[in-house]
Amino acid sequence: MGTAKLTIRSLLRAPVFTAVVILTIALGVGANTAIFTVIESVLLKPLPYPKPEELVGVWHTAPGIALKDLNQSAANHFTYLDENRTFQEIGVWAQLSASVTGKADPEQVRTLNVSHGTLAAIQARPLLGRVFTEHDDQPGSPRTVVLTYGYWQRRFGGERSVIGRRILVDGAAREVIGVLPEAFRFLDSKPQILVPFQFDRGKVLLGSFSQMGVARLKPGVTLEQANADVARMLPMVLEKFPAPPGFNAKLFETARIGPNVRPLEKDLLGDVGGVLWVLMGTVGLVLLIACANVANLLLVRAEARQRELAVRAALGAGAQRIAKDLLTESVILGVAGGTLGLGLAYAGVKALVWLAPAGLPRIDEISIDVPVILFAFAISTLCGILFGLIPVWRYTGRRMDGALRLGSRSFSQGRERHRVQSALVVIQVAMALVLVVGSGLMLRTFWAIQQVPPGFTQPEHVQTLRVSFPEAEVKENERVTRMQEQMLQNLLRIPGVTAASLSSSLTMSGYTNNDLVFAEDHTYALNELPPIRRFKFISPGYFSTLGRKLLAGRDMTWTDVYNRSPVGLISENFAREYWGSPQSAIGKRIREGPKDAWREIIGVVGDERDDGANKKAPAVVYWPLFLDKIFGQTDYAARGASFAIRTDRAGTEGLLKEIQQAIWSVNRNLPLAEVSTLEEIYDKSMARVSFTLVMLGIAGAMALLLGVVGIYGVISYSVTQSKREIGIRSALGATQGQLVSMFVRRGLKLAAAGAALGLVAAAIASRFMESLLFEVQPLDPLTYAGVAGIVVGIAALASYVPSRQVSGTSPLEALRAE
Amino acid sequence: MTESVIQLQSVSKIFVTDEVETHALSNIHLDIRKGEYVSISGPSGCGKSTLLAILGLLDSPSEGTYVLNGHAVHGLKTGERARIRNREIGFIFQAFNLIGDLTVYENVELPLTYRGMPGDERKRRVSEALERVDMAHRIKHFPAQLSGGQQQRVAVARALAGNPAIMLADEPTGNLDSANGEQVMDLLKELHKAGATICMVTHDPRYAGFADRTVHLFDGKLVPEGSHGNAQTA
Ligand SMILES: Nc1ncnc2c1ncn2[C@@H]1O[C@H](COP(=O)(O)OP(=O)(O)O)[C@@H](O)[C@H]1O
Ligand SMILES: [Mg+2]
Repeated sequence: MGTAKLTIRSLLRAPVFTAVVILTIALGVGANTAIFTVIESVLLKPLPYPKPEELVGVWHTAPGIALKDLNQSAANHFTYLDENRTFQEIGVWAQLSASVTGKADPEQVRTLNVSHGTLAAIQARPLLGRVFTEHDDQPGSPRTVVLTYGYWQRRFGGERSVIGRRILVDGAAREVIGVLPEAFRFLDSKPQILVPFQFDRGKVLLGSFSQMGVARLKPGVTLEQANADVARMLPMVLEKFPAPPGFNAKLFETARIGPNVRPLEKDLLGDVGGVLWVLMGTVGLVLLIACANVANLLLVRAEARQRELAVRAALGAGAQRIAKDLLTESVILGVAGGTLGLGLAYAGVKALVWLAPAGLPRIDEISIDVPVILFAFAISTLCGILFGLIPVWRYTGRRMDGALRLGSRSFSQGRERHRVQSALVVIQVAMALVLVVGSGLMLRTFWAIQQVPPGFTQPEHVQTLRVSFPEAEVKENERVTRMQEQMLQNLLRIPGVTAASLSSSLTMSGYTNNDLVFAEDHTYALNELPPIRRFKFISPGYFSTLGRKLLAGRDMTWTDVYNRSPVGLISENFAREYWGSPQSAIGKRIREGPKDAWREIIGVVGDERDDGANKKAPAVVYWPLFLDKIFGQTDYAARGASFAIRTDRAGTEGLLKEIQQAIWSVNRNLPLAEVSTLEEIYDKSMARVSFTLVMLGIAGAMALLLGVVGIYGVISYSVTQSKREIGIRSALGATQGQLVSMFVRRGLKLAAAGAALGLVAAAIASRFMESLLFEVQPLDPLTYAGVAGIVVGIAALASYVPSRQVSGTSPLEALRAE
Repeated sequence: MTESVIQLQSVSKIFVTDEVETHALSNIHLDIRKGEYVSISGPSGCGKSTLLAILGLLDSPSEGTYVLNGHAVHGLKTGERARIRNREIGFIFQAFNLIGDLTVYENVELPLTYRGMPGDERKRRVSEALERVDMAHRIKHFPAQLSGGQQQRVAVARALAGNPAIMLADEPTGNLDSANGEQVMDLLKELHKAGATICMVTHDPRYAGFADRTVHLFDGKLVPEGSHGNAQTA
């Protein structure tokens, strides 16, 4: 059929129209395809394992201690391993880190610690050698390690002879038994080496939920059946394993642990789906706005072709035939726009991956594939039909015969076309307003978060890094502490360093230790558990280094540390919860377990947003670095230490060299890890919020831009189409100003109607964003009023500029006889 | 002797398009007195509309002077010209030129709103004008709902509502059938009797006779009185 060819020829004759339409569609389709690519790769694609639907995360719930998601413990794992009826394979895993030492500089590497069931569940196959077997899990078996492809390439140049070699991991020799293929993935962990857990069954106690559970269901087993199976086995755990000293099994019953076996995807995706679907909805609106714009342009074009269409109708072309021609045109435009859009999406995905927060999982799997291409063409064709139908509906059928007669215009233009165009603009403005309200709420969220004191000041001047002190390297606990103090002394001697201190977990780092904390002056009912608190082990000067206020009492001293004085500090929220004020908490005594020593609260410090700037500050207990009678151990030292060094030189290469020297002059075998400024840590914790803000901002800006183009187009068109009316009014004595303001008012009326509609729509749509907001209501009046003001203001400008074209119309137009 | 409303001295108009100069008007002298009814006639393309546009300050002369109501207006700026059009001149067009989106009432009111006239004063003037053209019963109608003759009567009401110094009409019957045309001509005659100053372009010899005086244009020049018979045949 020649229809397509004719249509393309006629489109090429109107290059500006064609280019504007294709570009508009390309923007809309491009944005949607880009976000869809992310959704498809991250949320919709199955996990890259055989029969991924059989894979589950083995979790628990513990309503008794207000935990919705409780992970896996060794005691539970062994019970399930022995007693289950629903799992083919079951394993535990954890992401940890270790130092690898040897000939080269010591290096801190990310490890994936697993029981052999974990790799069996995902059916991981080695590239070289073998993966772990049950034997590797046994305490006393030779220590082994499996390398990932990247690490093998980097450290061993991809030599096959690596199998059988030994490497020093945390000071202990391990034999390399295998190398994993390049495509190996385990959820979103990016380990460099894998090491087996070697739990000593005889020493496993109840509690200590510090691993993650993974399992493969037997064929045909449902989640309900698996959960029922775990529920059946839970009481057995209490019988099989003893409680830690000072606790009895009854206490564990009060936690009311229940089963929570769920698809493994959940462990990978977390709550990222919420953000992504909000973004998809957002760019979907952008596409609709683009369609409305294009529909408007097509209406104008159809208007210009009205006579041609009428003549064709008069020559016998049926309504169907004309409808088909019009639709052919819009679908060709849609597909052309879609193709260009796909190109934009390709660039957009690149930018997205670059922009994406650290928290976006499967980021390396994001790519444009066949489903994405199908999606792009489906939506562009659909759009082509959608915006093509409007002119079809306007200009075919019974209306056609009128077109010839309407040829002579004895008074100004028909109102009906304006109504359709105006309705489209009103809808566009409304949708743009919804999106801008969304970005406004995100902006307010961002701002609100920044107003919250995070527990430190001037983070750009704090250099942080982490050093681990493995037992194989430094045996006695006190020696660890002495070395740490020595390092701090050395660090303080670096020019420009004003403070240096360390903590088992700096802040917002994700290394969290949480446990029950009892207070001496609180009585707990039988079987009642106190709330879980976070605890950290710190050196003296930690708070002054970070810039946190001491609200009551005093900081600890090195004397406290070495004397193993039973003292500690707590955060303000903890003090207020139990004792009403920071002052009255001083002198009170707390402990972690019934067998531990009571420790006196010597100071209260400001709260710390340890879970991220946008999360509630947890109640924190700060213990000295070195102490005794804790966790049932005689003494304990913080072997994982994050250093905080305050200096203007933070982040410079020169400083890092000097830090390295300060630390290695104490022990040459301790690698420096996680080198970053405190500001970078803060930004990372803001990454999700920033990402959402940027994405919504881009969508909002696109929507506004398209909305502006829409209003501009309609007003500009109505000015050119109203030449005669302008001439008449001008002849009757209207000044330029009066004429301009007439058109601006027209634009403003549309904008106001759109804004009113948009405010209602935004009030409904913003509910979907609620979980992304922080201290901002979805109906925040300031945002709504501000955005409505901005949208109407921009609309006024978008109307004013084309309205000035009235000066191009002479009053002589009025004299022109038709 | 009554005072002059319009005095044109040596007015010429040259249009330049694509390097082609059209001498639409050459050396026109014209004097219209208060209360006069002047008709301008001549063949198509002789410059009638151009002359009317200059009289109505829709266009300015290339050369010559124009004194309207005692004020020189040929060199005024756009804004000032709009103001004078609005206050001193009432237009009646061949194509009626009512605004389709406005009602009859609003159309008549339009020039008064541009003047910033207070609402009750406008209302009085609009009603009065519509009564004079016998269209008071149609104030809520839209132009599309009226016949051509009715539309032109509304246009006349719009022209006279502002109480202009002069009413300019460019072939007011050109788009009307003869019955309706005559009605409009009768209306103009009546207004003239009541004191209005009117300048009307027509090439219909039947209607030229309604005026006190007919001015003949030929090829952009005024034809001396008495020799117009030749021009008429062109
Ligand atoms: N805007 C213009 N540009 C160029 N030539 C014009 C313009 N307006 C009128 N003319 C020319 O001036 C002459 C007089 O036109 P017009 O006054 O409209 O004549 P009439 O109204 O007597 O028919 C004609 O030759 C016409 O082509
Ligand atoms: Mg004419």
